[in-house]
Amino acid sequence: MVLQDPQQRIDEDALKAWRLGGWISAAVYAVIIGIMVFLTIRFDWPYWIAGTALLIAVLVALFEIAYIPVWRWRRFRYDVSEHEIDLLHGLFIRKRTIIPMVKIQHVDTKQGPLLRKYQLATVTFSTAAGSHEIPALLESKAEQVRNQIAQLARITDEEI
Amino acid sequence: MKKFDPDTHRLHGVSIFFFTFKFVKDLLYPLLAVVISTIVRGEINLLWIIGGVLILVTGSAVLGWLSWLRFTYRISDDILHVHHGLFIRKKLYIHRERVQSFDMSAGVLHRIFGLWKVQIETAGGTKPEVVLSAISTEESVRLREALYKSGRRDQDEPSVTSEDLQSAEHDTFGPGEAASVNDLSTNNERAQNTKQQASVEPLPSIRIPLRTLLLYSITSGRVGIAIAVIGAAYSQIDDWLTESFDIWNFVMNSLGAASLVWVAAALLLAVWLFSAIMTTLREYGFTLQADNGKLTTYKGLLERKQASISLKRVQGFYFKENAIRRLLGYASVHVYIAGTTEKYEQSFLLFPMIRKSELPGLLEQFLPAYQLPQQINKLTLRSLPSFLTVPVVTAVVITAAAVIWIPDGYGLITIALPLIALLWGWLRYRQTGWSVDEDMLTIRHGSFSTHHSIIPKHRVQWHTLATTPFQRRKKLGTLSLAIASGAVFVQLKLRHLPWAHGAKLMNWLRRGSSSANGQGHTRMG
Repeated sequence: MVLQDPQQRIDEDALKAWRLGGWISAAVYAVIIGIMVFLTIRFDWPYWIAGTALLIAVLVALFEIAYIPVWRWRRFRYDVSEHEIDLLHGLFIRKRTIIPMVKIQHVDTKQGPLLRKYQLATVTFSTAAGSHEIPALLESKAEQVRNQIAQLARITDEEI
Repeated sequence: MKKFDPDTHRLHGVSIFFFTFKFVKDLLYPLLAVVISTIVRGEINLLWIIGGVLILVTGSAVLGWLSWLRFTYRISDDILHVHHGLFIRKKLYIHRERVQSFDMSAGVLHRIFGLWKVQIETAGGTKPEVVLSAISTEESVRLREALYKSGRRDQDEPSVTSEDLQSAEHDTFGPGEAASVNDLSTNNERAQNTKQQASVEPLPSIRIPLRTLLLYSITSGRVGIAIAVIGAAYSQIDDWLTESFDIWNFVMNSLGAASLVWVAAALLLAVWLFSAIMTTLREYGFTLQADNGKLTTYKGLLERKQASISLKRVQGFYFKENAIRRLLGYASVHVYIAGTTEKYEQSFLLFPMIRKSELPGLLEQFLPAYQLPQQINKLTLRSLPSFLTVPVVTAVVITAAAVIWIPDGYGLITIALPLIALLWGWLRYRQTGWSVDEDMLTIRHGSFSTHHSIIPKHRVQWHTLATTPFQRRKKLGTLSLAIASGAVFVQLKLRHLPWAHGAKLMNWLRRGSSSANGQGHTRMG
C-alpha cells in the first residue's frame, strides 16, 4: 500500500517573508534583552538572568531566521484534486492531512503585511471541524486555488 | 401598544418571576459592592441596606413584569415570530425548516404550575436562539407540532410530551426488575390506545429501569473508583499492620494520620454519595424515543428534560465502559452530533447504561444506519515501546526527584508512580484497535476504561496521518480523524499503529477511491 505524497510546493518567496518575520521577532527579542541588561546594571540583578535570556533569544532567533523557514518550505506540499485537498505539513511531526472537498464550508485568501510585501497570500479553508491553510502562494496562484476550491466544493451539497 | 392579535401569545405569568430573577441576578454584584464598601467604611446602616434590597427587588419586579409584557410570540406560515426586549426591542423570525432542535425542560417551579421551558436552536450560533422561559404543556405541544414535527404533520400523532412524561414517572415506582429492552414501547402502546390509531407503527422507545440507573449513578465518575482504590488499599494496609506491626499504628497515631485518612475517606464517600444522588435525580426515568428521523430523550425527577436530535446530524456514536461497568457488562452510549449546543456538552447521551449484549438490538431500532464492528484489529508488540516510553520516563524522573528531595523517606511513596505509568501505557497499548466494516470505521482506545467510536466514512471532516521522528524509525504513525461534535470538534486518534496500516486507512477514507478507480492516487501493494 502506497500513500503518494502531494506534489505542489508553495512559492519560494515564502522563505523571504518568513525570514523577515524571523528578523522582526529577533528585533523584539533584542529590545527585551536590552531592557533586561539595563535593569541588570541599574538594579544589580545577577548576570546569569540576562545571560540566559540572551542565549535563548539568540538560539530562537537563529532557528526562526535560518532553519525553520527552510524546513517549513521543504516540508510543505499540497494538491487540490476534484475530491480532496491533500496537505503535507508539520516540522518535527510530519503530518499528512486529507480534507474531502465535500466537507469544505468556505474558503478564503488572507494576506498580512509581510506576505503582501512579497505579493503572497494564504488560502484558508474551513470544515465543520476547524480550518486548514496553504500558506504563502503567489497572489495570482492563491486566487486561482481559492476559486478552484470554491468551484469544486460548491458542486456537492452533502449533509455535514 | 398596538391592538392585540389573537394569534399573538405571551408567556405564562410565572415567567415574570424568571425575568425578575434575572434582573436581580444581574444587579446583585453592584449591590454587593455597595454593601461591602459601606461595611468596610464602618458605616453600617441597616436602613440603607434593607432599603437598597427593597428597591432592587421591587425595581426588578417591575422590569420583570415589563419584560414579560413585551415578550410576545406567534406562529404564522411556519414562521415563529418573537418580539421581545425592554430597552432595545428585538424581533426574531425563525422558519420551521431552520429549526435544528426543540428542547424542553421543567424545573420545580415549572412542575408546580405544569409548565415547560422551551429552547429552540437553529444551526448557527452558540446559544439557543429562542428561550421561552415558561409556557403551558398544551402550548409547548402546539409549538412542537408547528415547528419541529418532521415530515408528516398529521394531528393524530401521539403527543409524547405531556402524558408520557406523566406516566413515565409513575411506572418507575413499579417493579424495577424488568429487562430494559422488554420495557419497550409501553409508553407508545398507551399513547396509541388513547388515540385509537392502530395503523401507525409503534414508535421505538426504551426506558432505562430505575435499578439500572442506580447502578449507573454509583458507578459513574472517578470518585467511585478513587474510593474503591482507597478502600481496598486501606483495608489491605489495615490488615497487614494490625497483624505485623505495632510501630505503624504508633506512627499513625503520633502523626494523627489515621484520623486524617478516615476523614478523607468519609469526605470522599460523601462526595460520591452526593454525586450519585444528583445523577439519579438527573437521569431518573430516562426514556429514549425514535420518531421519524428524530431521537428524543426524556429524563429527570425534579427537573424534567426533553431533548431532541435529528438523525441527519448524527456524526457517529461511541460507547464507553469504565472499569467497573465493563466487569458488570454494561456500557453507556453517546452520539456525536454536529452543531448542537445542548448544555455545552460535546455529545448527546443516548443510553446512560445498557447491557452490552443488548447494544446490537438497540442500534437496529434507534440508529439503524450503524452497526457494531465484527472484529477489532490490534497492535503488535512493535508499538508497545511507543506507549510506554513517555509515561514511564516522566514518572521515573518525578520519582527520582521526589526520592532525592523529599526528606525522611516519604519520597519513596512515589515509587508506585512508574509502575502505574507502566500499567497505564500497557493498557493503552492493549486497548488501541480498529475495525473497518463496509462504510464504518471503529476506533477503540482507552486505558482503564474502554472507548469504542463508530464513525461512517462520509462523516469524517478530515483525517491526518502524523509521524514523529521516533515513529518514523519504527515505521509507526498516528492516525486522527476529525469529527464535528457539538459546537467544536473531536479528534479520534489511533496512536502508534503500523504506518502501512495507517496509509491503508488514509486511502480507504478518501473520496473517489471507494469507487475503485483510485484516481491514480492509490496502488495496492
